[in-house]
Amino acid sequence: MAIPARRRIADVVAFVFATAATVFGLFWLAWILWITFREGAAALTPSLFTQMTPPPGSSGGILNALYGSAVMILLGVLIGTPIGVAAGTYLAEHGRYTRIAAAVSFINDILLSAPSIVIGLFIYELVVRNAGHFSGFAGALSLAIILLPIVVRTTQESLLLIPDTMREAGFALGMPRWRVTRQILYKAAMSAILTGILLGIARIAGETAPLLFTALNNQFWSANLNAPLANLPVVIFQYAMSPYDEWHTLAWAGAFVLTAFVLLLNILVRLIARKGKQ
Amino acid sequence: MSASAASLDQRPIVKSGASADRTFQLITAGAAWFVLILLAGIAASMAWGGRLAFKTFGWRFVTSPDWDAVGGHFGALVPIYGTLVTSAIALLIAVPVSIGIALFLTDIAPRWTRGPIAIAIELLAAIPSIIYGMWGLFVFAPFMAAHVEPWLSDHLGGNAIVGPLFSGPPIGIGMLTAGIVLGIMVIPFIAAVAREVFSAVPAPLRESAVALGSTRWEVLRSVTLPYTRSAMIGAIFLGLGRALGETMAVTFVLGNAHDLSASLLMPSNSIAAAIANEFTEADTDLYRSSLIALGFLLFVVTFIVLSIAKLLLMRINKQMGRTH
Amino acid sequence: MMNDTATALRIMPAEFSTPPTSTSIAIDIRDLDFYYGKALALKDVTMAVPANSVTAIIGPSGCGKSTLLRAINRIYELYPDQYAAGSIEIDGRNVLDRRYALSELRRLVGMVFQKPTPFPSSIRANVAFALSYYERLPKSEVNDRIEDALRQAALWDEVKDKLNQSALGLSGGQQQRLCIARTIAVRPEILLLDEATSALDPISTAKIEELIHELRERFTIVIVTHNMQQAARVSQSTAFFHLGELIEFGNTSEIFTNPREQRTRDYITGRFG
Repeated sequence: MAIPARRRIADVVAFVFATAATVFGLFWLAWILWITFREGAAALTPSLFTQMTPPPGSSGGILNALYGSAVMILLGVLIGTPIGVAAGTYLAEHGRYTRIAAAVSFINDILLSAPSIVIGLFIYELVVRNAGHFSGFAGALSLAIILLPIVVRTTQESLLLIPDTMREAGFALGMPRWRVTRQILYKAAMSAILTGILLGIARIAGETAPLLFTALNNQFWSANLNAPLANLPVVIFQYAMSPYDEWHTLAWAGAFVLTAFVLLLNILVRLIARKGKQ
Repeated sequence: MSASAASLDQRPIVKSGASADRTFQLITAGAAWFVLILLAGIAASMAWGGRLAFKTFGWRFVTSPDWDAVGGHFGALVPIYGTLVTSAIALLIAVPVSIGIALFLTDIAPRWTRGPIAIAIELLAAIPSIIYGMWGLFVFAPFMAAHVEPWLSDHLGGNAIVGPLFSGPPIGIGMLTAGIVLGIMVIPFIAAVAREVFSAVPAPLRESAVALGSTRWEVLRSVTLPYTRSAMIGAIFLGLGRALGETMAVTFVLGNAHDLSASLLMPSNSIAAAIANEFTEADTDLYRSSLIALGFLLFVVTFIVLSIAKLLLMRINKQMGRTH
Repeated sequence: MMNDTATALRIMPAEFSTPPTSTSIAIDIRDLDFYYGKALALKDVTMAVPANSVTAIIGPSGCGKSTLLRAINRIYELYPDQYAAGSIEIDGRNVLDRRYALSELRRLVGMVFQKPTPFPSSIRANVAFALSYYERLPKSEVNDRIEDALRQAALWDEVKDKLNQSALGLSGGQQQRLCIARTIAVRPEILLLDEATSALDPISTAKIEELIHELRERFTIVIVTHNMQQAARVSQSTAFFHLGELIEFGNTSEIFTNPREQRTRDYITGRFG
């Protein structure tokens, strides 16, 4: 069938446009990753993982920042996950058909995309101002709040994916809902929920804005959660914005470590999730 | 009765499970309420923390461009303007690109490449925003200053209509650079929704258009986009909500300036960047309150934008639920 | 009994609601209406299911046969817009009464579904799941009960060496027999089988039919099936439903050889459904 030239050209244009858009998107990914790995690999030294963040003009490592980040992420997960799983469970189980669940589900989606800097301000107002000082605990709390809606959403979706026949089979044996949920549904949804939590960890690992006025930063080694705590994102931020070359190098090294961690976690989780599906 | 009935009465029922079930329900419902309370708490604490600024300046807080920490006068027009302009630039870039990517992934790409390409696009969202910021500061801004901005001010700077947008020295740091970085960052969010709704367009609808001799372009324009319009607007609002609140990437490349400037090449500020840059330095109650008031504005605006997005996306979900 | 029959008489001839061979009644359903939202799915159903025998429910899809089973153990209560009115008496108590505890009811009335629904855990845990909830038994006795249930479900020989392996690794037919074992492990009086073989291959189906035949002595069994040969093979009484109404209920042999109602005849001879 003959298509007029004008229409054929429009079709070719659509093809070119779509392809170009995809190349455009991938181009930035490649550029950013390339720069991060090039600069970061050049800055990698063994002392990175053995020394503390240095004062201006000298070299050092990011050990204290790595430790602080790890502690805050862990604590954030310990706080955010149980609440998130419980809330997600309510949305998918007891509360599934209630109005309150619909409202929570709606609000949760908004929290999911809410500006993380506002979360930082919130914890500042709630914790830091009352305590009178910045602290690793406050940082962990703000990470927990960012993680929470991710876990709620994943739990809800994973539970809803389980066919109702599984619930019916449990209930038909006379089991109460909490037992059906705990012993059957959680087991069936476990890997999906874990996937969501891991992706959530990848997300909070890179969060900087909510830590700026909660955990702040600490140039020295500190394991005290009730005092300012060094952490990788804020170190990267402060060192990158500084005028010192040594600090820039360290910032690139930190960026490399952070990006590698986040990307590996993302890719690994997706691979495992896909394998699980097959 | 049945053979086992005789022993029925002797079988003890260990527990009814009702009370444990009740506890479980209370705990999960409590956690769900916590999500609501959390959101309300954030809004309330922002309003409370910002009350001093709102009381002191009234409407001038959002209409005045003067941000003078030393003089104790705070007007947020510059960061508000900067936030809106950079987000607008971001959408101008991200929306067509995302539609293109979605079209590519649903219609054009060889089937086996679709999964990997989609994951790669999603990884754009996984890269921490601080990495965007560093790359923007050290690599992209110098690139803009050396190659793009001189060209823009040479070719468009003299234009009577758009000239003012592209005048000034090419320093790389500014609203255009920030807008482009933001655009890249929101592409994965819009593209993911677009791809999902494009592939949800009922196949018969598209196939019948193709059977009638429509080209791919015509199918997109007269079937796919009209069919998915409300979801696409929802996706755009979702991207907007992300762009408005993005902090770190913008903080690196926007320049933290408090001068109102028409030129996109000039440094500016955004709400989130102003908070990130200045909050730990805020040495007076009024200064701190003004920054928290900014946070309140940002929260309210993103709440509205994201609510619209969610409502529009809920509608298409329902539609899809019905057609399946 | 007299009263029951008298009540039924008002609605239809006695022989319609009570098969003559029955000696006692396990489930006494009266004036049962069932709603999905505003849609009436069962209309004024009255039937007395005889004890220790197999009752088959047949009828075209959408006729309400599964709904009837779902009313008996109140599994429909999971969904907010489903509602039953009327009464279903078991052992002289109306199970539709809200005060009748669900755990008690469902222990008395087990149910097996169309698709096998093994829980994502070991074979042993599947069988022990409800058992350990209802009864606190010493470990050895639990093991005895598990073996007993698996033997009754004709599955023991196939799984006795892999009790700790995942139930998801079993074949479809084995999974379905596991579901039966899991249900009878808590010693119910009544077993509801909702198209329990429709997802299975002919060999597995034959095994389960054989199993139903054996279980009949210990349980009152109600099966829903769209397979009329199956109904004829395994059941002693058959009820034919159409558009939410009980059209005819009687001895299986009579229903299949000499139905009273034209609609039953049409369905059985394959004229619709």
